[in-house]
This record gives sequence, structure tokens and C-alpha cells, in this order.
Amino acid sequence: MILKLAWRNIIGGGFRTWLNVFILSVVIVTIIGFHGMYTGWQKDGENGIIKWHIAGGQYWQKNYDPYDSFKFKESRQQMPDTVPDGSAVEFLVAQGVIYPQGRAKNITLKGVEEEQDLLELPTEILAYEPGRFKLMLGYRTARKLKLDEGDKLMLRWRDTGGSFDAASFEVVKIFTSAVSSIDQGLVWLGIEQMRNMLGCGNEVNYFTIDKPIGGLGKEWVFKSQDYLLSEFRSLISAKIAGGMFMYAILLFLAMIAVFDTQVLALFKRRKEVGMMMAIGMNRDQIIRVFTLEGFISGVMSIILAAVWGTPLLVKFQENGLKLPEYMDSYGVDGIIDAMYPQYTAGLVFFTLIIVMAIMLAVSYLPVRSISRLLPVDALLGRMTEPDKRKNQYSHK
Amino acid sequence: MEKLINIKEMYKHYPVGTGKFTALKDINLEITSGEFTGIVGPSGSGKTTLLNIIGSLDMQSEGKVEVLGKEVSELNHRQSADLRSKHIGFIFQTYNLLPVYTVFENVEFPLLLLNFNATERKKMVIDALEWVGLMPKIKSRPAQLSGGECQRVAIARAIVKKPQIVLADEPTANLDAENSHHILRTMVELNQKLGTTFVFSTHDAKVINYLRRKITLIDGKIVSDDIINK
Repeated sequence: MILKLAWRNIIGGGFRTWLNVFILSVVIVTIIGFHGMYTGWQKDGENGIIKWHIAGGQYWQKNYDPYDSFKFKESRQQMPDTVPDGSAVEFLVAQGVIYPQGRAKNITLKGVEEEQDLLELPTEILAYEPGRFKLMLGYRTARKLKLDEGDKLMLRWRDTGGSFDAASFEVVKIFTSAVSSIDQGLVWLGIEQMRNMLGCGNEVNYFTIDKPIGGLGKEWVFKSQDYLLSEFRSLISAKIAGGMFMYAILLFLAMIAVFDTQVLALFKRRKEVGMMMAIGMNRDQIIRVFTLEGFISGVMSIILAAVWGTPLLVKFQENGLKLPEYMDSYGVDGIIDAMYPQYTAGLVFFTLIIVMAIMLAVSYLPVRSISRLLPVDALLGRMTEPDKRKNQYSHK
Repeated sequence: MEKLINIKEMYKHYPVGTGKFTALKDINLEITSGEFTGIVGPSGSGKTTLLNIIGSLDMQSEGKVEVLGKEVSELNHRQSADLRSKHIGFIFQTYNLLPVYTVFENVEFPLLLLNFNATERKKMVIDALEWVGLMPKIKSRPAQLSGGECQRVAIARAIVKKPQIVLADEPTANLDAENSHHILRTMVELNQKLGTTFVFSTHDAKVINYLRRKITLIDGKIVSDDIINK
């Protein structure tokens, strides 16, 4: 009976019902699309960082600090013998200066093991060839320095003895990766080449491994995936927190839609509630009818959102959100030229739960108050304050 | 005859600022089954308030009001709703139809509350609409009906469940003479056929002519209670 009455009220609402259902569906699709973008960005970013740089984690020489270039030299150490062959990728870090088009620019030199298949970095191209100085750049750095593959530029460095040296290097590869942190401000060299340049033997600053290994002593500190991803995750969290403002606006929109359907309409429908009371509906039945109306509106919005939103969101996922070129210079991991949203079941479920919870709350609260009116007051379309009502009416 | 309504020394006060306004004073009244009774009096005399209290839509401030043997001030909201749902039908001056429902759905509404099955509901609604002569408008919505037709829907809604009491508050106030007579004849017929007790509040002379008992209310007090022999 309650369902039948609620359904009649919804359908009888006509254009107003459908307009509000549509607005709610827009809110649902927008929230899912918007949050899906962050989820996609986070997943792309994390996957990229893992595949291109950190794999199953890294061991850092205990003094190594990626943000303290003055410690690069003192944080080099012989690669431990106990690390199985093929399970690690060695990295050597130093400071240098490059001179593209006659300009001097400080950069970080990273020597990477040339023969490896743990990471997606195209390192094999850096294989040592005596007398040939090769370097590799990420596309962001290359674009910034206006360099192409085949270009030559002067690179200056300081060896372990403190002497400056320089050579003309050839850009043998410009790679494209969503991971900005292996691109911006970095010049990649083969590790053998770099060891020769620095004169540092079989030393590394850190190495990436496929899975943690034990017995390396206190000289090497394990940095887990979680630790290495924490900076990126913090950035995403900060962005999501900023995005909350947008959610708030969207949810506010949703609430306005429901408010219009349920709250304002309910106040307009006080006489209707009074008539229902006069005919014999009790408070609980009235609350159930109007709350169910809100619930059905929510379900209809979800169905409508699924009908027009699913193809739209899928299309959006396939094509991504194209970003302007200058976004590259922001140095954000996870983005190349577009953001590709990903929609998880949890995201969809959470969004729907939130929307339904709002629908139920804003449907239930006003009708609860109206159902407590004197039937005669509801019929006359006026509100009676509870304290005054006590004096007049004692239907418990 | 069964005593349906029994009111003793009943008062109704409304708070006005720090004081109170007494709308009904020392009302003593008994109404038995099958009556066709009118509470008449000028505007503001307390007719509607008395009707609302009888229908348990409102509550007396003092005194005793028994409807079908139940003291209405002692009912909780569920019992009060139950009393209205099962035993009382209301007809309002402003019809109070549900605007989004069709004529059929409006009349069916009280039966849904009483959990009649779909077949029973359909038969009862059709019977009620035939009584009031509105079968051709069964699928119309209130906005598509005239005032007289709306009031006939309200009557059908009030009588469809065959209540013991129908309370009609100025049922002809918004109707022209022809519609008023048509509706009143319908109610007389229902009163005679079904034995339903009708209690009107009115100051319309047309209605008064149909009454078999006239209770006159002035300034909240019953000043006369006359049986009219027809």
C-alpha cells in the first residue's frame, strides 16, 4: 500500500519529478566522473612509478637523500654481492651541468644499469660503447631544453677526486613516461659510462629490486613501495581534498533537487498530509510514504544515471580528459597528455550510498516534523509549534 | 438507536497571546446512528471546530467526547487514525482531493488503508462513483473537474468504505444551487440506503432544508437543538 501510494505520488508529480530525477542523475554521473579522474590519475601514477622506477622497492645507501645533492658523493657504496643477478637495477647519482644551445643548466645525472628487464626505462640503448657518450632524456626535459634525438650537447661533471671534466654527449633516446619524477631535471646515462666518468668503481647510491631481500646490513636501508609512493599519494590526497569542494557543490545541487522535491513540496503538500491524516493514515504510514518517495526518486535517478551516464563515462574513460601542454611543466606524476578516469566498484557504490543517504535524510526529516502536526493544522496548511501543540492536543 | 457521539460539558480554548479564546462552551450533545443532522450557525460560531473534535482531528480542552464508545482525548495517534480510517468519513468545504491522483485513485485511497484487495477495491470504488454519478470521469484528475464534480468525488471518497459516520464541513459552500441539491439528494439517499449517520456543519439554507435535526450554535454555545419532522 505504502509503495503504491509513494509511486503514485512520484508519477503524479509529472515534470517536476522527472526534472529532479534528471538533476540528481547529473550529480551522480558528475561525481563518479570527477572522482574517477582522481582514481585514474592515482592508479596511472602509481603503476607508472612502480613500472618505471621503484618495482618492488629500493635499497638506499644509508646516507642517500634524493633531495640533498651535496650528499650524492658520500652516499655511494659498492653494490652488495649478496643481491642476486637480475633481481636489481643499479642507480648512480651525481650532479652535473649541461649546456643546451649555449645555456648552462644544473641537472641531476643518473646512471642506470643498462641490461635490465625489471623496469620499463629503455636502458639498453645506453649500453656502453667506448668513445661514444650517450645520454637519454624524458620528453618533458627534452621539450623544455628544445632537444631532439641525435642532438649533441656539452655535459660537465665532477669526478670523485673533485676535478671537473666535460664531454659532448649525444641524445640517443627521448622516452615518454607518465612518471614526471624520472624525467624532469634528469639526464640518464649508462651506469658503466657514468662510473668511468666519476671514477667510482662498482658503486651505487641505490638500487631497485623486484622483492625485498635480507642480510644487507645497516649500510642499506629498505624503502618499501608504500614509502616511495607516499609523496605521490599525498599529492593526490591534497588534490582530492581540494576536489571535496567540488563534491560539496555537487551534493549541494543534489540536495537542492531533493529539497525542491521533498521539502518544499512537502510544505506545499501539508494540506495533502492533513487530508491523509483525516482519511486515517497514521504518522508512521505518512512518514513511510514520503520517505519512500525520496527513496524511489533516488533509485530512479540511479537508473537514469546508468542509462545516459554509463556510455558517457565509458567514452570519457577511453578518450581521457585532454590536458593543455603547459600541464607538463607542473611535474605531476601519472599524467602525459590526458587524464584517464577509472571507475571502481567502491567509488560507484560509495557515491550511490551518499546520494541515497541524502535522499532519505532530506525526505525523512521534514515529513517527520509535518506528520506530528495536528491533522486540523495540516489541513489548514499551518504549522503549530510543538510547545503550543502540547496544550491543545494530546494524541500521544 | 445506537449512540454514536456523546459529548458532555466540552470546552475548546485556543491560546491567544497570554490569554485564551474559548471557541466552544459547555457543549452537551448526543448523536445516534442513522441521523441526518446539521450544526448550523454563522461564521465563527464554532461549527467546524466541533466537527473536527468529533472527527478526532482536533482535541477538546475540557469535558468528554466519546465517539463510537471511545473517549477521543485518550486515543494515541495510531488509535485516533484507526478510528478515522475505519469509522469516519470526511467531506471538506475545499474538497481536499489529492491533485496527482485520478478520480478512481482518490476514491480508492481509504480502501488501501483498510487493506482491501484489488478486486474488492475496484468494485467498491465503482459502486461509490455510480452513487454519485461520476463514472464517466473515473480517469480524470481533480484539475479537470468542476467544483460540483470535485465535491462528489469527495463524497464518494467519504462513503466508499461505508463508514458509520460522515462528517461534512460546509459541503455545499462552493457549489451552485443545482449541484448543491444534487449532492444533498445523494447524501440523503446514502443515509437511507446505508444507514450512514451524516453530521453537517453549515449555514447554507439549502442544506438546512434537508436536515432532520438542526443544532444551532452561536458564539460557541448550543442555543437550540430541534428535530425536524419531514
